[in-house]
Parts: sequence; C-alpha cells; structure tokens
Amino acid sequence: MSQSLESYLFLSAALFSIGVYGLLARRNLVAILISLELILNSASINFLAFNKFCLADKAVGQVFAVFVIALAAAEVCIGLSLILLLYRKRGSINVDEAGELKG
Amino acid sequence: MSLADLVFIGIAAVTILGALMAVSFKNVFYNALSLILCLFGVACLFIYLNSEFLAIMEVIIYIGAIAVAIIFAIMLSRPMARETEKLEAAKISRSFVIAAFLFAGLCLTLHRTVWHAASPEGDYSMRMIGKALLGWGILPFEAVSLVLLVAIIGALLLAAGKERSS
Amino acid sequence: MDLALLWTIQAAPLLAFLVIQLLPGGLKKAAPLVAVGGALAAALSSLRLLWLHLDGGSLPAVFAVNWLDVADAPLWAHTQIPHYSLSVGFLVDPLNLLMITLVTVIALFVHVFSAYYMADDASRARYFGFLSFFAFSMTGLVLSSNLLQTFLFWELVGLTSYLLIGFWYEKKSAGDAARKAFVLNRLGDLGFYLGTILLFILFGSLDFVDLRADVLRQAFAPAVLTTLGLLVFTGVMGKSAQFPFHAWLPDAMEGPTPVSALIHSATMVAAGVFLLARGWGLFSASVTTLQVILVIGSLTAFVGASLATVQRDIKKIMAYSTVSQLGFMVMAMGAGAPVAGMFHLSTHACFKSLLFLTAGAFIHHFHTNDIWEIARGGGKKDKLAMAVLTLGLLSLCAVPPFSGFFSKDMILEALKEHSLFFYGVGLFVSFLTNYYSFRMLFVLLFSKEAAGRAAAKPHAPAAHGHDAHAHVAHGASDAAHAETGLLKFCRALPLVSLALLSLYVGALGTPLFHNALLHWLGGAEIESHLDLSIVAVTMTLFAAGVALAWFQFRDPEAAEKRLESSANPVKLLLDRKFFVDDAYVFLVKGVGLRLAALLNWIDKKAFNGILVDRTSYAILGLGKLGSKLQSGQLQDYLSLAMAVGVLILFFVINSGGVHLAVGG
Repeated sequence: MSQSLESYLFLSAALFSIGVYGLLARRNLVAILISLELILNSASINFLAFNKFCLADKAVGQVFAVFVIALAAAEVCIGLSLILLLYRKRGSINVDEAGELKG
Repeated sequence: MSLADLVFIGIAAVTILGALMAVSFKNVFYNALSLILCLFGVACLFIYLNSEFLAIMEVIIYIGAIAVAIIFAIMLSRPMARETEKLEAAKISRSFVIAAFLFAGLCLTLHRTVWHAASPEGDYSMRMIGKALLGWGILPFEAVSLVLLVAIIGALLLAAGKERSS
Repeated sequence: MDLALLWTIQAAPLLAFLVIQLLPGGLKKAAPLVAVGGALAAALSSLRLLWLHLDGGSLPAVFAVNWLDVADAPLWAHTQIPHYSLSVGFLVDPLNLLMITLVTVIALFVHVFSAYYMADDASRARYFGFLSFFAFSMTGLVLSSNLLQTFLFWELVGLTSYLLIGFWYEKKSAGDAARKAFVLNRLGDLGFYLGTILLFILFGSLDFVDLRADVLRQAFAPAVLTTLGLLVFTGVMGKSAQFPFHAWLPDAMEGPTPVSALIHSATMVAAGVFLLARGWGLFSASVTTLQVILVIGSLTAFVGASLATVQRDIKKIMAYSTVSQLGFMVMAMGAGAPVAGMFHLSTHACFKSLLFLTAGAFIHHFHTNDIWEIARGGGKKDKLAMAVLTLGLLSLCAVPPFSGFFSKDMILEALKEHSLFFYGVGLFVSFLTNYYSFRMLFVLLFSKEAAGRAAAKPHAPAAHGHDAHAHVAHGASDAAHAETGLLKFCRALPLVSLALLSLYVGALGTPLFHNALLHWLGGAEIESHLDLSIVAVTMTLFAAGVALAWFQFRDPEAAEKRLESSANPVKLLLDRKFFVDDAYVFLVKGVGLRLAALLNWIDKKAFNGILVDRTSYAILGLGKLGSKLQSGQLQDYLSLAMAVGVLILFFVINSGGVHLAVGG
C-alpha cells in the first residue's frame, strides 16, 4: 500500500478537501491561513508522489516541492502581517467583518 | 500487510486527523497546534516518498518557521488565543457539501485515470536537487528568491509602517 | 469630351449652390449672377452635348462605375443577371438628351426671369441657392444610369420642391402647402422605393439599359411585373401629381412664381412622365400596368381640367391646367405611345413655363393673383405679356400651328387607336382646356380698367395674395416700378425666348422638319401623319370651347357676379375640388388619428405596459438577485468559485474524462 501512487494521491485529495472546507467555513483569518497551508501541503505530496512513481528524473518533483515550501513561507509572511494590520485597525480578524467589497 | 504498510496507515491517519483538527477546533490556538501534528505526518510521508531532504525541510521550515510564526501571531494579538469562534450552520453545511463533492470528484478522477508508471528506483540525492536547482531550474529559483525578498520587505513595511503612524 | 460635358452639366449648378452658400454677407447681391452663371454653363454644355450627338450615333452611351457588388450568385431563381451589383454613372441616350436640354435651357430662362422677379426680396440669396440646388438635383435625376440613382435625385428634387414651396415660410399657408407636397410625395415615393428594392432583389440589376420588356417578360410572371410596375408608378403619381395625389400641386403655387414655372410645371412634375419613358421596359412589360396608367392619367386629366374652369387665381388655373396636361402625358404613356408623351412633355414644358412666367410678370406688377383684379388693374396694357400669354394659351389649346397642337394630336391619335372611350375622354378634356384658357383670356381682355388702383383692393375670396407677400416693401401705392434696363431685359428675354422656343419645339415634330424630334426619340418608324378626322374634331371642339367662353365671359363683371351668386351641385363639386381634400382630411382625421389613438393605446398598454415595463422589472429583479451574490463576503465568492469548479470537474469526468498522461 505504501508503494502505490493511488494511496498518496488519495491522501492528498483528502488533505486538499479538508483544506477547502476550512477555507470556506472558518471565519478566523488565521484559521483560513492554516487551511491554506493544508492545501499547499497536499500539492507537495502530489509532487513527490508523482516524482517517485511516474518520473524518471527524481530531482524534478523535489525541486518543485522546494519551490512550494519557499512560496508558502512567503505567503505566510505576508498573510500574517496583513492579518496583524487588520487586527490593529479593527480589533478583530473575522473575515466576514471585512465586507467592503459588498455590491 | 508489511510493517511498512502498517506504519504508513498510522502516519496517514495521524495526518488526516491533524488536518481535521486543524480546521475544526474553534480555538485558533488549537488549530495551529493541530497543524503542527499534520505537518509532522506529511514530513513522514515524504520519507516514504524517498525525499529525506524535503522531509527535513518540511520540519525545519513548516514546523520550525511557519507554524511558529502563526503561533507568534496568535499570541501577539492577545484576545485571539482565548477567543472561540461562533460558527454559522449555513456556512458550515455549505462548505461541507462543496468539500465533499470536491473530494468525491477527485477520487473519481483518481479512479478513472490511467497512470503511466515509472520505476521508483533512482537518484533522490540532495546533490541532484542542487544540480537541478542551479541547472535547468535556475530561473524559477531566482524568481522564488526574488519573491521571498519582496515578501520580507513587504511584511516589514506593512508591520512597521503602521506602528510609525500610530 | 462627353464625360467632361456631363460633369459640367451635373456640377455647375451644384458649384453655384455652394458658392452662393459661402458668399459673405456683403456679396449676397451677387447670388443671382452666380446662379445664372451656373445655369448658363449647364445649358451650354447640354446644348453642346446635344449637338455632338445630333446624328444619333454612339447612343446610348453609358458612363458608369461599379459601386457595390451585392452578390455573386443570383438571389432569385429566374433572374437573368448573374451578378448583383449596383452602379453609379451617367446614361446618355436621345430621351435623356432631350430632357436634359429642356431642363437646363428652361432653368436658364427661369433663373434669368427670377433675377427680375426676386429683385426686391431680402432673402434672394437663399432663393437662388435653392434654385441652383434644384437644377443640380434635376440634372442628376435625368442623367442617372439606374433606378436607384434616379430615386436618390428624385428625393433631392422633392426636397428642393419642399424648400421652395415653403420659401416664404413665415406665411402659414406656404408652410402648410410645403408640408402637404412633401407628405403626398413621400406616400408616392414609398411605393417607388419598394418597387426599386423588389426589382433589385428579383431581377438583379437596376440599370436602365438592362430593363428591357422582352427580358423582363421572360424572367417574371405577369402578376409580378404588374406589381413592380405599379409600385414604381406610385412614385410617378406622387411626383407628377396624378389623381389622387394631385392635391399638392395647386397648393404648391404658394411658392414664388418662377419656381412654379420651373419646378411645378416644366421640369420636376414632368420627371414622373420622364421616368415612365425612362423605365418604359418595366412598364410596358405588363399590359395591366399600362391599363392602370391609362385610367389614372385620364382621371387626372379630367379632374385637372374641370377644376381649372372655376379658379380665379391665375396661378391656380395654370396649376390645374398642368395637372390636366400631365394626365394627358400619362395617358399617352398608358396608351403605349411614349414618344407622343415625351413630345407633349417637351412642348408643354416650353409653353407652360412661358405661361407661368407671364403670370409671374402680371403678379409682380399688379400684386395680385386674381384674374379679375389683374384685368381691372389694366393687365391688357402690358402688350408683351399679353402677346406671349395668348401664344402660350393657343399652344395649350392645341391650335395649329402652335406647338401643343402637334403633340396633343399625336396623343389623341394614339388614344383613338387604343380605345374609343379614352379618346372621348381626351377630346372632352381638350374641350375643357379650350374653355378655361379662353375664359382667362377673355376676362383679361374684356374687363374694363378700373379708375384707380384703389378699386383693385383684393376682395376677400380672392385674397390669396400669394406673391404679393414678396412686395411688402413696395407698399400698396401705385408708384411705378423703378425698373432698370437690366431688370426689363431680365423680364423680356425669357418671355420672348421661351415663346420662340415653344414654337420651334412643336415644329420639330412636324413633317416640315421631317419629324426630327420624333425620329430621334423613337426611331425611324414613327410618323406623325395628320389625321384629318382628328383635326376636324379638335377644331370643332376648339370653336365650341371658345364660343362657350365667349358667351359667358365677354362681360367679365357680369360673369363675376353671376359666379358669386349661382349655386348648383356641379359648382359645389368643383369648388370643393371633387372632395379630394375632404377625403384626405377624413382619412387623416377620421381614420388616421383614430388608428393612431388605438395604436397609442396598444403601445402604452401592451408594448410599454407589459413588454417593456415587465421586462424592466424582471431585469431589475434579476439584478437584485444578482446583487445578493455580491455580499462582499470573501468566502461567499470562494464558495461560488469552488462550486463551479466542482461542477466543471464532474462535467469533465462524465464526458469521458481527460486521459491524463502523467509521466511516461
């Protein structure tokens, strides 16, 4: 089982769906950020799984996983500072209270 | 069923459990802690995928930097750590349905697709990763480093600029 | 050479118009000069063109360029023309050349006469601008090589006609008359336009050279040909004032008299008859069309002539006379004798413009349109005007050897060959023509001159005072016109020239000149053999008409009193103009307005109320529904996007899926 591609892909699909659920359901911006991290990790798992079972050059998938981790770091970096800014401004980090886009 | 498989199932269960807790606890502090659990499981999976280097990176960067940064942010905004979120039933159910259908769709796709397998044997070493990063991957590598730089400067600006004005 | 001349004819009046429009205020006085210059250039060019082609060689000549390719393949199964295309250009053939010469020469004389007639009018620059523009449009109409181009210029002459009828627009009657002319013409032009479009769709070409009767008969069923011909004929009815569209022409006399001479007698109204000859292939392809044309023409001739017998206004007499003569020409066309019709058009153009200019001379001098008033004012003392008036009237009455005789004789001959009934109508109309002509002449001749101008105060029923308006500056005093030598010349030259011209044109159609005009128009086989029986009948009728007029009007004052007191059904019928105007009023007020009210109701309730309002409410509701999507909540947007994404995912899976070739 640990040697089949499908099990990894299934795992990453579950992780991805859980991430999407959190993204849509949570109000707290930090929790949303955490959900995003789950989604990114599912992508990483996919990269490495395909790297192992489908690619000849075993460096390709790993390189992309490195990029994902680096970009996740950047994303969290910016995301957190934005959340802090919002918190200072409004005293709350609930996403449904930031409703300026209302049409 | 081999020992490796048993351990794999355990790790997968921990990962899923961590992920579920990371989105379902109402207190965001618990969420962050659950995330660490989940990320740890993912790092173990990476080892199963022969990528020891990335497993280490996962632990160092994700758990050591990102998760800690999140916890810092939570602690910095004092009430956030104690606050429990009021969840709306409509929103929850809507998100659940969408996520469930998404999962079903993904599983169906997995099931239907024919994968072209290749031998799992090969050179997974850090040397090859380094060569790839500085060989054909030099352009995305530089781009990512630029993004990181911009992100750091931007984060500093966002965080510091406000304090100066206040 | 030809093309240069054609361009000169076409462009000189337009250039004159533009120059007049651009003249600075101080130079507006030069407008008559510019207009006369343009008309002179056009007239000389057309004479030169006529001279070059007098032997009839190399005719017809077409100078056309392809304008628009509509279709490569026939749009209609039976059509003969493989390529649908529209062209623009000039067509030159004997018919054209005759018409263009007539138009430009008469236009020249009318321009010259206008210089005299409009000398005192403040806005004569506008007048001459319009007149030049009319000359441009009319030459364009005559020279067009195809039906669509003709239609465009046809509309332009309609516009100038409208502008010139309403030239004294501050007078309500003039504005109303202009509108009436415009609307009635539009009604006719609608048919013309429909016919043109249909013809193009069905036949594939609008070029006159392609419209030949035999080709058309091969291509279409008779019913289609009749429809096409009658639709185009509707335009002719509007423009040539055929019954029941004739009502606008008498009212058009609100315009300045030279305009009436040029546009509403000699050229524009004759354009309809010209079009009948121009598109002869189309009209003659269907016997039914010709029959309808003949009936309409005879009705018009009769109505016009009978109404002319009761008018007091000199211009109205001539207007109704024009209606009647146009009817005559159309009758000739309907009887299958286009050459006779065109011949009568030519002679009529000359003598009727002459008559109108004479009327203009009287009106300008006596400030009234009423023949009794003119007579009391001493009209008969104007020897030149009286002489040319008599000449014109004799031509009109078809007395040999004046021009009208030859052309009318030809028409009567054609009618006699065609059917005895219409021959009878023609003869009766001739009789009426004689009667009203000599009625006018006798009133002018035998009235006693009133002692002073005070007696010539216009009395109520006759106070149309059409052109008197132009002379407000003069006041009512009998101060003699300070006519300079130049103005006198401007008055005399056109009268004398047109008189001579009308004699000459008539003579061209006689054996004396070897039937030059007729041969030229219709080929060698056309002869005008004087049918002595017809001549005898017409002469008898002439004598009868003159006698009746003499009997009634040798004492004009008594006749006037008798006219005012008498009342009988015929007089009522004629006074009310056969109730045609009343019919129009009934149609517009009784039927049209009620229909409009009904449509308005339907529009308000059904279209506006249900369709438009409901639609707007529905869209408003949809918008409100849509705006609920725009909650401003990030997660709502995300949910929507995700849901759509999931749907797309399932769709892709269900439709067979993409065969992901990962790795390999």
